[in-house]
Amino acid sequence: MINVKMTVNGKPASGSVEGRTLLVDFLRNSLNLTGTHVGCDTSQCGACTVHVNSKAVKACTIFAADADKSDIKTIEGQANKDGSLNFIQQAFQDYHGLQCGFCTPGMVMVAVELLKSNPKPTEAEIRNYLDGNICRCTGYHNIVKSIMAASGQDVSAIAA
Amino acid sequence: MGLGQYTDDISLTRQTFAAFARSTVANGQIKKIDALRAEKMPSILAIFTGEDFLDVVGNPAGWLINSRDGEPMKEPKRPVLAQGKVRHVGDAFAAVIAETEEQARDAIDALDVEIDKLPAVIDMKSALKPGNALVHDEIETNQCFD
Repeated sequence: MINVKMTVNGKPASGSVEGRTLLVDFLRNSLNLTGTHVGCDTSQCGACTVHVNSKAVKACTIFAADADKSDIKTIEGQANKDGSLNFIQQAFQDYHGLQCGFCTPGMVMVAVELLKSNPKPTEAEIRNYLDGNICRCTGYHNIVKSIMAASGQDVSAIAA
Repeated sequence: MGLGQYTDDISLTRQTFAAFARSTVANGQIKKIDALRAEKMPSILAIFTGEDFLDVVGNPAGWLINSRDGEPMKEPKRPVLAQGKVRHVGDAFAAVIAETEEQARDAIDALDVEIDKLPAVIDMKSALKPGNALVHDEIETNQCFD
């Protein structure tokens, strides 16, 4: 077993993991942060996306041991300090950017990264950035719309 | 937030986990599933194969339809775990129940399995050709209804 220590959503977290334990399993099973989902187990769906040292990473693609000493952010750490939804989460709610909601944590984590580097992305840039995130409900239009709205742009041109 | 509770997010005291052994061939005869080594592994609670469900009727089709001439569709048995034959890549032929997901998966890997690969059909046209491999032998055709 390997001892790991990391910062998760601003708080210190530690645990003992097997060499094969994936970061997503450590977050879900050891830290009980079940907002990060496992949608496919094969690094295709992006439902497990978290931020590792400020970069969006599929948490099923790295071992927990490799995330030792890292700064991790998950969907549980995205709300505003007063507990209200952050502006991207709020936009997903306002524009119905989810159906079953299973992929939403990953979508939000990717959107947060996108808007940090590109505060006013075009529709094409958003769709390109979401390339690694699959929505099994196929609710892509409203996800794109939510991210457009979160960036303060007009959404009327996006298909319903 | 992230506080939604999907099935996989539920964690109960003494919760157990299932893992499945799945076919890597499209059509095959199951020759051997030896669980001797797997069942001795830590925290393995049960191992099932199709043989354990011989008296269980298969998964029923939810929506039975008739052919144009009124004849009812042919409904295969569709056992809960493959019996004798595997019929598609991913067809489950064994299940392990264990105390953790990892232990269940490890036990699946430890099963000693022999499956003889059989000819398979991989497109609609050849599926209908007489003499080609049948998905369900007891139905004698690959056409469910017309």
